[in-house]
Order: sequence, then structure tokens, then C-alpha cells
Amino acid sequence: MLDLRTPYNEGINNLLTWRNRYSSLEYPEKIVLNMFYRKYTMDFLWPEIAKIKSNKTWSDFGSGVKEIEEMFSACAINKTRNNLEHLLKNDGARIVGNCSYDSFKQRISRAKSDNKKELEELEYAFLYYLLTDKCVLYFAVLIGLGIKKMDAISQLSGYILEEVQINDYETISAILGQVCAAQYLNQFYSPLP
Amino acid sequence: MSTTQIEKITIAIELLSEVERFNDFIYGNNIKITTQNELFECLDRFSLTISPTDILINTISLVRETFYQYIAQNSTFQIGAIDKSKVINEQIVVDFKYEISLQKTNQLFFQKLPRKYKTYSENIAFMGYDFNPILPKYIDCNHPYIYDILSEAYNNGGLYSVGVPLLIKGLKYALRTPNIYWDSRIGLMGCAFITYQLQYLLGKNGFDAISEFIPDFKEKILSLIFLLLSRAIEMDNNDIHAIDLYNNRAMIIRDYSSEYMIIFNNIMLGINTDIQYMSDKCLSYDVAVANGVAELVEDVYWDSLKMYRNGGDFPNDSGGYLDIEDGTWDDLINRGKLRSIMIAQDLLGKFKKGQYDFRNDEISLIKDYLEAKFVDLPQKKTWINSDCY
Repeated sequence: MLDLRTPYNEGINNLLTWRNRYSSLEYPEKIVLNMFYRKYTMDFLWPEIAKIKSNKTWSDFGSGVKEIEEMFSACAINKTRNNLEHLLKNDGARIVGNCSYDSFKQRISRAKSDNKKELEELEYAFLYYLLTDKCVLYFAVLIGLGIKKMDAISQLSGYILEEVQINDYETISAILGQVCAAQYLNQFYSPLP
Repeated sequence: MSTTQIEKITIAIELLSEVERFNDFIYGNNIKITTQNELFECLDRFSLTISPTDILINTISLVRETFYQYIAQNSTFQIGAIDKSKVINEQIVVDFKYEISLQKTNQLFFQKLPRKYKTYSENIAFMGYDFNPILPKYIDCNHPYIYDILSEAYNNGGLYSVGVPLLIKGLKYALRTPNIYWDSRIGLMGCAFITYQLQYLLGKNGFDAISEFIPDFKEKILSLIFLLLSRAIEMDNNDIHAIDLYNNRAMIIRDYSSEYMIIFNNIMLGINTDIQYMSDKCLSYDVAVANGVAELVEDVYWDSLKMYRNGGDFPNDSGGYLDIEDGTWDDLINRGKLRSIMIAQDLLGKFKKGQYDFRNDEISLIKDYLEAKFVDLPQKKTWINSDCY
């Protein structure tokens, strides 16, 4: 089973930094914005991930993670950065990685009115989707190492699952979200004050 | 310094130099920046001159964050380094302290300690507080310092069914990485005190019982207590809270000396826990002197001196460490202080790798043990607490 401490640490550090950087009115919006920045990038990156062949694309897991993170950063800069605002404004109802921006709108406005529970929901959602997306990237690395899809899920999660067709970002993020991210958060998550 | 950090700091400096208004501000006011404090002071002063809605505010925040992160990450003194961009707003603790000061009942309670001396006995004095009216407000505050004070009060008062769940809530912040209160001193003190309270409630039997289910439980908890107390001390070792922090570290090293001997000697050879005890007791007194409350904690001074002269709590003819060691009392105190820092730095490396992490199911196991061990006592009129606010 993969240890998600490093991405979890990254997520918590980001939340703490944003809490200090932004006002209480800006902060909820920024969490969701960052969440969808990552989600749209994953969505744009998926065709490239799907092309990764099981023929030892990289020599080991570490170098694979480094390469795929670079692919992610390049995709974020080239495809998401300049389009995100437009996408959220005009196509907010679109489901990306099992959720839409519009479904968070009410929660954002409630969190802005100092509702602690709603703010915690947003922070939890940010961490959950961050871990899920990291797992999707690790999944792609394992595929590139020549491991079969279901075996890759088993290696990441420690669970043996029934054969499922994995052809899109939605399916893999739903599976890894449940068996990896949710499991990790269940054991290690503590809400921020 | 890594390449990314150099890039970040370069970008921050470039960002600053490109802000025309900032340059005008510096030259206009004839400001010279030679130290980091002067830089932060200058940024603060500049922020006051611009409107809160100005986009420049975000640029200033980004620059400040970059410098804070750079300073914290590149400090050789990691155990005391604070990344100010990650400090949590702890206004809730200020409110809490004010509210509990109103809950004082002016009753005193005394608890007898196991007799150590033949000629006199010792008692702990507790001040009475009634926390019931404010409990609903703070039960979900997610702050370990508040959970520590509340749980200690309820546990001392004998209402364990309230105190233990509060303790467990606080432990979820103390027993894992990332510790979200790592850069907030009050929060981190709360983590240190609540873990200290856990070992007090567990006792040696509790440690043994839980060690059957969680491997290396005792070693992990004791290492973590030492690390958290050391971190809280090094974040500000002149503050009045450091009296308790030093004293608690001395006490736990004495109580679990053989365990700490193993932990310390895995890091560096030849550490004598008695000298660490002697050093911490005296350092605790030094802080009390600096804060003008030396008379209240005079005992810690004598504890340290007794250890130096007699190698224990009682006068004897052994000659103590006065005869054995090659240094004076002051030398030993300084050596102890330096060793504590080196040990804590080493433990910090293991902590960051997650070696002292506890999962929620392991924390539930601790809860089950405590709930089975402690049954509510007949209710007292007030709940008691060892601190006076």
C-alpha cells in the first residue's frame, strides 16, 4: 500500500499558507479554484496518460513520478492556466473527475459567511481530490513500468478488486478515491481549527 | 539550498524590485535593508501605505511567504525554526483564556503525592473551575491546547467520561505528521502537554498493556514527548511557559530514565539521564528568574543542585556528580542543554519520516484502554485544574 504522507503534507501546507495569505472571504473560493485547477489539468492530461504503454516507459518508480509530475506541470501551464476562469464561468456544470464547480458554489457562499462546518467540507474535499489525483498519477507510473491496471490498483491500495474497464479519468479517480484517498484520510485526517 | 529555493527567492527579489511604488517608498524614506527583520519591518510599513484592496497586497504577501519559507527551511537549527507563513490564527485561545478566568470558583483542592521524604509530605494544590457552561462552545474547537486544559480539568475532577474523549481529540493533533500546529507555539505546547498527560494517565502498566497491540508504543510516545517539549522550548525559551516545559522534560526523563537511556544512546553514546534532569531543572529555574517568579519554583533549583551534589534526592556520602564528573555544575547544565538540542534534532528527522505517527484505529485503542481503566468518580461540585489563569 502506498504511503500518501508526502502529498497529504503538501495539501495541509497549502491550506495553512492560503489561510494566512487570503481573507476569510477569499479563502473558500481559492480552495475550490485550486481544486479545479488540478482537476481540469488531470482531465486534459488523461489522453496522454491513456497513451502510456506497458513497455517500461521509465526505469523505476521514482523517475516515473518525476516525469509524470513534469508532464502535469507542463499541461497545467499550457492548457489550464489561461482557460480555467473561462471554463468555470461558462461550463461550471461540467463534471470533471466526478464533480462539478457549480455543485460547490453554494458551499462556498456558506463558508464565506463564517460557517465552520462548510469550510471544513471544502478543506476535506481539497485534500481528498488532491490525494486522488496524486494516486491517478502514481497509477500511470505503474502502468508505464509494465504493471497491469488492476494489479497497479492493488499495489497502490492493498485491495484486490474485480476486473473493471478503466478508460477514462472519472472511473479511475472514483476507484482510487475510494480505495486510497478515503482510506488514508480515514486514518490520518484531523480538521483544521 | 535547492535549485527550486534559489529560483523562488530570486523571483521574490525580482518581484519586489519591479514594484515601482516599493522602490519609491524605500528611496523616499531613505530606508536601508541589511537584516531580515528590517526587510519584514519595511514590508509591514509599506503595506500600511497601500489600500487593502490593492493587488499589491497579494504580491507583498507572496514575497513575505517566500522569505519565511526560505528562512525556516534553511535554518541549521530546525528544532526551533518557525515558518511564519504557516502559523495558525489562535485568537480562539485568547478568548478561551478570558472565558475560563470567569469560571473560577475560588475553591482549593489538594491531592497527596506518594511520600518521598520521611520528615514531610507533599501535596498538589488545584484551583477550582466550573467548565460546564463553556464546554459546548469549545468541544469542537480542534485546538490541542484547549483540549488539554479541559481534559486535564475533567480528569482531575474524576469525570473521565468527559475528560478522556477530549484528551483523545487533542491527541489526534499531537500524534501524527504533518502536525498542523508545528509553527504555532501555543498549539504545539498543547500537543506537548496533552501527550505528557497521556503518559501520566497510562502509567507504566498502561504502556505495557498497549505495547502488546502497538509495536514500540512506549518508545514512540516517550520520543514524541521529548521532541514536542524540546520544540516548544526552543521556539521561545525565555517565555514563562518554558518553566513548565523544562520541568516536565526533567520529570519525564527521571520517571522513565532506563527507557530514555536507550532512546538517547541510540542517537549518541554516553548520555547520562541524571545530567539531563539536572540541566533541565536548573534551566527551568533560570527562566523563572528571568520572568521574576523564581520564588514560586525554588524547588526546581534545589532538585538540580541535589542531583549534582548527591546523585539523587537525598543527602548522602556518595559525592554525587560533584566527584564523578569532570565539569562544574554550570558546565554540566550547558552540556545537558546542548545534548537535548542534538537529540531533539535527531528525533525530528525520524518524526518527519512518520516514525512516530499513530493511525486513528491505534488512537481508538488507547481510548478504549483509558475508558476501561478510569470509571467516573462520584461527582464533585467543581472541576479542578492545576493551572492558575
